[in-house]
Amino acid sequence: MSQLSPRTFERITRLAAEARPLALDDPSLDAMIGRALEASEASVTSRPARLADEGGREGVPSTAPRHGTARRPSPRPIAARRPAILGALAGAALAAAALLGYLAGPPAVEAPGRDAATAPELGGAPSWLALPSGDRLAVAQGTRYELASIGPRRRVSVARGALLADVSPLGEGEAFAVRTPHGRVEVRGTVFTVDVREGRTVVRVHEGRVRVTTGGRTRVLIRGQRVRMDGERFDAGEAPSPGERALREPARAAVARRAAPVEVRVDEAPGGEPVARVVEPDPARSAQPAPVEAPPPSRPPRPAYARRWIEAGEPGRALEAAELALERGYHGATWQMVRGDALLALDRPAEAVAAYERAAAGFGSALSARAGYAAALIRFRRLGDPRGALSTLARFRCVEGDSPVAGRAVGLRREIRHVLGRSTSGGAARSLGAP
Amino acid sequence: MSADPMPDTAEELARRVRSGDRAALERLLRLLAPRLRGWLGRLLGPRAELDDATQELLIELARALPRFEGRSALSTYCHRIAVRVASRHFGRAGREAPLELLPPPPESVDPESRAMDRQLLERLYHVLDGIAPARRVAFVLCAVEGFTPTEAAAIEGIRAATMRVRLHRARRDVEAALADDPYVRRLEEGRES
Repeated sequence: MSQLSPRTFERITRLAAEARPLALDDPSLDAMIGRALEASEASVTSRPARLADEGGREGVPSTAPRHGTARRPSPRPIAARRPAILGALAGAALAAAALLGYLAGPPAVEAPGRDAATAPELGGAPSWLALPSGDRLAVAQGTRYELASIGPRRRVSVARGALLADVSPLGEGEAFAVRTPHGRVEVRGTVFTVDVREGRTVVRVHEGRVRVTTGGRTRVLIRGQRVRMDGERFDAGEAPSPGERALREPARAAVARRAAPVEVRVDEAPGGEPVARVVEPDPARSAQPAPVEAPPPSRPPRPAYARRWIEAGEPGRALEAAELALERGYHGATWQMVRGDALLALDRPAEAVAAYERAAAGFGSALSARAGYAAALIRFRRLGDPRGALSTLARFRCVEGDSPVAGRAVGLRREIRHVLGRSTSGGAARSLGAP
Repeated sequence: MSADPMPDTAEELARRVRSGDRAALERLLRLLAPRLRGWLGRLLGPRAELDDATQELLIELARALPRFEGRSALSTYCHRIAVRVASRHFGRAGREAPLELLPPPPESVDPESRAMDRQLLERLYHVLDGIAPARRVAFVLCAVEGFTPTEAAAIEGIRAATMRVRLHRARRDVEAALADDPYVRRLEEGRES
């Protein structure tokens, strides 16, 4: 087998990158968009709304085949199966209602108390509801809520009022989400309160970790954190409502119940055989209130979480975390990279370059080259500093043979030299980033 | 971040689409259509089915965008659907189409070079038709579109390490196949002589 020269390979991939198919003319585009909108409307009117989180990832049609695997033909058209599907759904709903009635009495959609619509005062002793999955809900009086699903993917909708969720650790394929008019709260085994008020929802996490989403923004809250969301953005919480205050004691109890360990001791029996026995938790210890009011921990999160914040459109939060981590002496180079990513997302390229170069100086050779390449790219493309970019590429040995970004770095260097009017000859071409 | 970021207006329109604004959906599709067609063109190569694939992608997006909640970048979300739509066409015996897959030539480019470029591009897509679809996607996303393996992995919904392995194998496959191509070999020999 002969060898392909890197230069030819690079030329071919560049050609492919520059390829543009023939543009559609306006009438064709109009017709295509019209058909797409019609198909979209038809799908909305002919089937129940699908939850975005069905199928594991956001809203991507999960039936789409991947990588050329042929779509298995449906045995019958969907319209023919609709009566059966509706019947099955109705049966499941009846079974769920009967099960709920057996476990928790009448499944009141509105908790006992005064009429929530006319009497906004919330408080008093909450009602407890146990789900078949083991999750427990404490519902403040006057709360209007609905158990949308009690299956593996449990969903509770809260229209107004306050609700405490004590969610058992979830298994594979399980989920627990609370929807409010202003956002969504997703959990993985935790205790939290959702308080829905006029135009906003306040979420407080008592134990574990939850993910809250509003207006396309996502945040992960940990124990002790509290946030308010209004359907568009997050901001700091406000004074607890009577409903939320009424749920404090149940929250402490739920957290204490989780904190009480079930201990298994192995004792030696008189005959010499080891005997295992379960030691009941000390009631006095269980009754200790958990630090519900503890302030958010001052430790920075892991860098991966900070990166997710950047991807979720919250670079400012990631920047704060990175600066806190650097201040406290955590791994400098990794956090400098996060800081650079956040600064870049905040459109502060000069500071991002400085962060990437600091990261490159602190990393070993491979990661140093990556960080250096990122800095050089911004210098050249965003700051219009080709000489500085060349210097950065050389300083962090981005074009060396063992660099993981050698191919891209060589391409960048060639482009920079072209801009500077220099020759690109010299045998610098390398394969495009072969690992 | 992404090699091809979405304009701010697209993100804004997506937010309005989520709140049920049908006019915003139409505007968003119209705004995205050229970009979507470009992605599909580079994933599929010169195929007569490009128009069909574009239509399929617009339909998928018109259904999916109202459910887009902004948990990923809009570009990643659209790209993910584009990859899936293109993947349906990989296995089909596509008719080669005389589609213009190259940008308009600058005046300095002579016709001979242009013909050579067209030949090279055809060879590349001929090779890509012969490799595993997952590797093809990895190659196009990273080597052609310029995404990092991490970004491409987010589009595909797989781990970055898996994407790196796919990319490595795809490059190996493509380089080996192109090196054995008579046209490419002649080109290489001509340069050396």
